Parts: sequence; C-alpha cells; structure tokens
Amino acid sequence: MTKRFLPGKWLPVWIALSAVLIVAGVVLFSLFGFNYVSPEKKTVEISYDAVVFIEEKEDKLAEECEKVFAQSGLDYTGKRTDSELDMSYISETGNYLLVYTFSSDVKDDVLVKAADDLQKAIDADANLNLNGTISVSAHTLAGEQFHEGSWRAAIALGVAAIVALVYVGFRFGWADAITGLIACVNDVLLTLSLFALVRIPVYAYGPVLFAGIAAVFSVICWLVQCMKMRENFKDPAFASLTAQEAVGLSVAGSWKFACCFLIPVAVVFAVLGAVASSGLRLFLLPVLLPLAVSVYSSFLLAPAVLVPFKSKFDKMKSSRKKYVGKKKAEAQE
Amino acid sequence: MGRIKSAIVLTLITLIIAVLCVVCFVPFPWGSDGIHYFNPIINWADRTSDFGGYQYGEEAGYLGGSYSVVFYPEGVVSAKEYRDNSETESEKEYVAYSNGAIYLDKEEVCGGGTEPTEEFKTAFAAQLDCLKERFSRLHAEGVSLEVRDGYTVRATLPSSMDASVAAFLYFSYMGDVTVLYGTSSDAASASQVIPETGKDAKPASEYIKGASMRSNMGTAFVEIDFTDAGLDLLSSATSGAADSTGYLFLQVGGETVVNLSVSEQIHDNLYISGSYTNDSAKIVAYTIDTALSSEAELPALSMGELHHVDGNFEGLTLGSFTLNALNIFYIAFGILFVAMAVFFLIRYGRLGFANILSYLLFLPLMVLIYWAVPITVGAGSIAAFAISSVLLCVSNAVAYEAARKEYAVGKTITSSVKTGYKKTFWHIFDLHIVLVIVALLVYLIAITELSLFGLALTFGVALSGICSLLVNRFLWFVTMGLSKNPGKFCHYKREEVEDDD
Repeated sequence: MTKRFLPGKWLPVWIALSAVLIVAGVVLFSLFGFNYVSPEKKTVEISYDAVVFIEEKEDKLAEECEKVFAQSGLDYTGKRTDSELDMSYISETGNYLLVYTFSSDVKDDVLVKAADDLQKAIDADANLNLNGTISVSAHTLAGEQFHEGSWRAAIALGVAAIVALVYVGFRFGWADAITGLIACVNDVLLTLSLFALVRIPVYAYGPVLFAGIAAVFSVICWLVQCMKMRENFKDPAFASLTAQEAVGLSVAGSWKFACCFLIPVAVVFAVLGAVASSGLRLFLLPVLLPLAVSVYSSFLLAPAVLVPFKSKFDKMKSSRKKYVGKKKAEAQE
Repeated sequence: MGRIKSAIVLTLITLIIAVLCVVCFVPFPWGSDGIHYFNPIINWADRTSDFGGYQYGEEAGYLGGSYSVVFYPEGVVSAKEYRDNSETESEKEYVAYSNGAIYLDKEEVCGGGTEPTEEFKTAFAAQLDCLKERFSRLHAEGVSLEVRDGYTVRATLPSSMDASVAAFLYFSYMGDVTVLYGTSSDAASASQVIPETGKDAKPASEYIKGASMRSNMGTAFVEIDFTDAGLDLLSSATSGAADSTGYLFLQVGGETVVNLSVSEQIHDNLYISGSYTNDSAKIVAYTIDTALSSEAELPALSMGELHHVDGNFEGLTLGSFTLNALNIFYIAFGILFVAMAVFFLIRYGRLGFANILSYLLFLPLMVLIYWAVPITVGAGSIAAFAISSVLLCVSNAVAYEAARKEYAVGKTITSSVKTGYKKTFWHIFDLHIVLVIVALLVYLIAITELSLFGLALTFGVALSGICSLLVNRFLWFVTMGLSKNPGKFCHYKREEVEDDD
C-alpha cells in the first residue's frame, strides 16, 4: 500500500512554524521596523534655452554632462528632457531642462562638485554655451507619501478577500470558507513578518499593500484547492476515505494544477521585475514573497486546518441525513 | 467542419486579428503627402509619466506624461534665479542653502542669520501639509509631491487630468478665505462680507462649513456650504441684487478663485456651475475647503516654471540610449509571448495556434478597452494586463489538459473536447468570477494606481473568460478541421493497454 499524505498530522508543525516566524517578525519589527527605502533621490538639472536647441547642441551638451559625471565617478540611473511650457497657452517656450537622476547613496559633496565642474566646463566652452544661459544645479528630492492611498488599498484588498471567501462558502461549503479565512489571516501576518525578518527594502506604502496582495493570493490559491477537492470528492473512490485521507489525496494531486497557474504568475513578475526600472522593481520582485507564502498556506497549512473542520461538517451532514422525518420515512418504506 | 470551410473561417479570423493588430499597434503613412501618419490606438491611450508621453499638434496638447512645477515659499529663490540677478547684489540679501541649490532671504527666512528660523520652518511644514491634503484629494494616478532641497516642493500631475495647470495655480493659494460683494466686476472695489470685520472678527470657518465638488447629469459644480451666520451675512449683502446685478468673489489668500454675478438675493448654499469639468470643480472646491481647515494663516507659494515630463527614463541603458518603462515592458512582453507560443506549440502541437490566435485577439481588444474606457497605461494597468494574460493562457491549458485525459482513455476527439470543457468549465468560471469580484471591489474602494489596476483587471479577467470559454473553443473547433488526424494535431496520445495474453 502506498504511503498517503495525511495533512492533519502535520498541523502542529505548520502552526508552530507560522507562530515562530510571526513572533520573530513581530519582535524584529518592534526593534527595527520595516526596511523602508529612502524616499530620497538626487538630481543634476541643466536648464538651457531655445538657442541650444536651434543650434542642435543638445547632444553635445549631454555628452559634456556625461563626460563630467564619468570623471567624477558618478553613474546616473535616469535621464530625461523636460520641456518648459507657457502657463497661459500650455505651449512650449523653447527652454528645456535636462535632468539626470542619481541614487540616494551618492554623496552630496561629490554631486555638488560634479555640478560645479560641469557649470565651469560649459561656461568655458563658447561653442556650447552660446549666450551664457545654461545653468547647472544639484538637487535632493524626498518623496512625500499620501497615506489615504495605502489604507484604502489595504481595506479594498481585505474586503475583496472576505467577499471572495463568502463566495467560496456558498460554492464549496463553509468548512472551506473558514479554512480560507484562517489561511488568509496567516498569510497576511506571515507576509508582514517575513518583510520584517528578511529586511527586503520596501516603500512606505509597501507593507500594507503587500499584506493586501497576500490576502488576495491566499484566497485564489485556496480557491484552486477547493475546486480540485470538489471535483475529487465526487469520485466514489474518495467516499470510503476519512476526511484526513481525502484531503491529503486531493492536495497531493493538485500540485500540477496549481503550478500551472502559480509558476507563470511568478515568472511574469520575475521577468518584469528583472527588467523594470528601479522604482517598479521594488514592487514587482517583493510580490514573489506573498505568492510563496500563499503557496505554503494553501498546500500545507490550510489542508491541515481543513481536516478537523471537514470531519465536523461531514459528521453534521451525516447526522442530518439520518433523520428524514416520519412521513418521508413511511413513504420511503 | 470540413477542411475548406475551416480554412476559409480561419483565414477570415486571421485577417480580422491582423487588421485589429495593425490598427492598435502599427503606425503607417496616411495619404501621399508624406506628412500625415496613422497613429495606432495604443498611442491614443493616456499614459503615466513612467510610460512616456509626447506632444501632438503644433501648440497645445500632450498625450501621456505629466506636468511638473516647483513651489517656492516667500523668500526662497532657485539657484538659476539667483544667478540671473546680479550676483553681487544678491549676495547681500540671500544665503546659499542645500549646497547652493536654493537661496534663502537673509532677513525674511533666516532672521538675519544663515539658517532658516523656527517660524519659517513651522510655516513651511504647514504649507506642505496643505499641499499634501490638496493633491491627495485629487485621487489621480501619477500625482506626486517631493520636498526639494529642504524648502521647496516639486509637484507632478498627469497631463491626462483636466485643468492640471489650473491645479498648480489654485493649490499655490494659501491663507484666509474671504467673500466679497460689490456692484463692479472688479474685485478690488468689492467690500468684504465674510468674515465679518471689526472687533469680534471670527475666522471664515465660522461662516462657511466647507466646499465640495458635485456632479449631476454630467454637469459638475462647486457647492459652498454656509453656516446660518454666513447665510445671514450673505443674504443681507445681496439684498439689492434683484434691482442691480452684483458680483460675488470668493478669495483664498487674496486671490480670486470663484467669481460670479448675482441677480437675486442669496438665501441658501451656493451651487456654482458653468464651465467646470469634474477635475476643475474639484480643484476649486479643495482649494477653498483646505484653506478653511488650515489652522494658521499661511503665506502663498510662488510657482517656478511649468514643465512637461515626457517620461522617467529609468532602467536599462544601452550605450547612450536609455529605455523608458514602456520600452522595457515591450521587450519583456516580447520575451514572454515567444516563451508562451513555444510552450504551447511544443506541448499541444498545432493546437497551440488556437491559443496563440485567441491571445492575439485578446491583445488588441485589451488595447481598445484601455483606449475606450479610458484606462491610463501605467504600472497598475500593465500588471492587470499581465495577470489577465496569464489567466487566459492557463485557462486554455487547463481545457487542453482535460481533453488530453479524455482522449487518452479512448474517447473521440470531439467527445474529448466536449467532456474536457464540461469538466473544466466551473473551474475556469469560478476563478474568473472570483477575480472579477476582487478586481471590482478594489476598483471601487481603492484610489489612484490600485483603483486603475482594479478597473483594468475587471475588464482583463472578463475578456480572458470570454476568450477562454468561447473564442478558444471555437478556434479549436475551426483549426482542428484542417487536420485528418486530430489526435496527432493536438499531440494527444491514447493510453497503451497491455494485453493479458
């Protein structure tokens, strides 16, 4: 006889694992908080007027800038040209702003020196600074957070997860819905704990948003399990099995099905994250963490939690079946 | 379906898909003058600044991108402005701050010293809070505020928003709210009605409860909600309006934000409509409302130059060529699309074409939806598109696998497809319906980028459901008609049964 996977037996292990990680996360969070990304970035801005544009000296100007940055040992992370607009007509004035973005790690004095050197180099080049209006300045920018967006995002995802669980309850039974809810809460807490533990850098809005995403992933992964269980439990072969054996067998057979969905999602986020700009990468790659947590809970924790609920609900169902009513019993006879 | 019929239907479908793809993605010359170009629909969709924008037409109008402005408190000037003035003259009045990025007025900001005074710092913090409140209330994606060099603020608004330039101007107004009334259209000759002047002067919030944006039957208007005391003052001031037209001015920090003619006595709250759009009504209402709730009397901010930001060109740098987020997305999408096509063609043989065709139909339809709704192309809508795409391909794969199992146990291909779809219908349906519910709730409750994600995901998942359950099944039926051996066509095999003898 082949050895069957009995998820109920592992329940204490998964509870202990989740509890240890969550407690450790809470401790680390209370000591150090989350590893927030500095909202700071640094720029060097070069403003020039229409003469530079008309004389087609823009490429030469950019070349000069990049030469000076290279000499100063600076690597820029972004480059753009903003066009100045007339306030009344929203039409271009002909003046431009060439903006180079640098990481927040760049030292202020190095950046300021580079900006000064650049200004001197431009001023010295009569062929470039045609009428002496090119101006260079170094800036430090600190992003401000709009907190309303974060808390509304978390509420939205939380409400969506609960409504989806209610759907699961109606469609697949309340044992599945209660288990899904427990898994969902676990995933939210575990995701936050892991962010505190592994020190993944996040934006200020990150923890709340990733917790919400974990809730949604959790519900979707559990939904896939519920579908598979519903399909399997119709099979007469499952009728003779205990709740523990039936859940275990179904979960063991659902790996392939769930992987079909989860692996492509993970690949898409990983590929987009790998090539994305630095700002987007800080959102796309950490999404893999709530995804991993929801895989853990839907394949290991939730099936173990489901076993006692399913036993209880199955018993209730069978006891309800026993009493069919006097008249109905007579009619059946 | 016979082979000829299949071939004809498949050709027609391919032509429709090709036309849709060209209309959505390919720019081409239009006419013989060499000037006019057909702009594909993907370029018509609004984009956030991360995904690039560009100017259309000669003078006005931008597609995508954003506008940005730097706000300066009184007594703070940019390094450029400092240099543009006579440096020797300026040195007497200003001190350099933040390594010379900005210059502070020695007297006004630093109180004669070289560092900003506590009073200035407190006032700037209050101004920043007020700006944050105003910009966050817009609930628009792509809105950002950054403190620049300690004491200036860089604000960014999406160019897709109506009246974004007006927002910069109005949001720079700070200070007391006043209501003036006069018989001339010149505010300077009007007399102050609210707040009452005199010994027992009270703040404007004692007379005006707040201001809000309302919209009814497509008309946007600003509602000014007065207290009883405010209505009494207004009513007595406008008592003669029925005889001669009067003019009412609502000012913030001495700058007029609402200007209207009055032809009858005012007894009730004001509902001001006219040329407002939803966005411009919001801007006016939030300017007044936040000024009313400000505890301290704040000085106005002055605005630097207005700039159009085409895109934040961050990410991959290839030599001197830097890719923006949209180009990076195109590359990532191309890699994933090829990977998907190769996987389906290897695993399901020529049946893979059914999936590729259904995906190629899904793709332009999503672009059309983004343009028609409209949904701004940004990080949220791209993520929603990616999830919907995965969902469509996975749903198709699930149906193919279910049919494979049925075929393996000896059923005919037609029966396998029918049973396969019957078995997987509720799986696919449940997954899609739950995702649509989740996405719709996220759209309704969340704001900005996440709301956009919810909206895009709602449409994406719904379209994925239709493409998977209807289009893909139809395409399977059509493509299979081309083959004499449908099992081989789908790379399906029968289970081998061992003979007992």
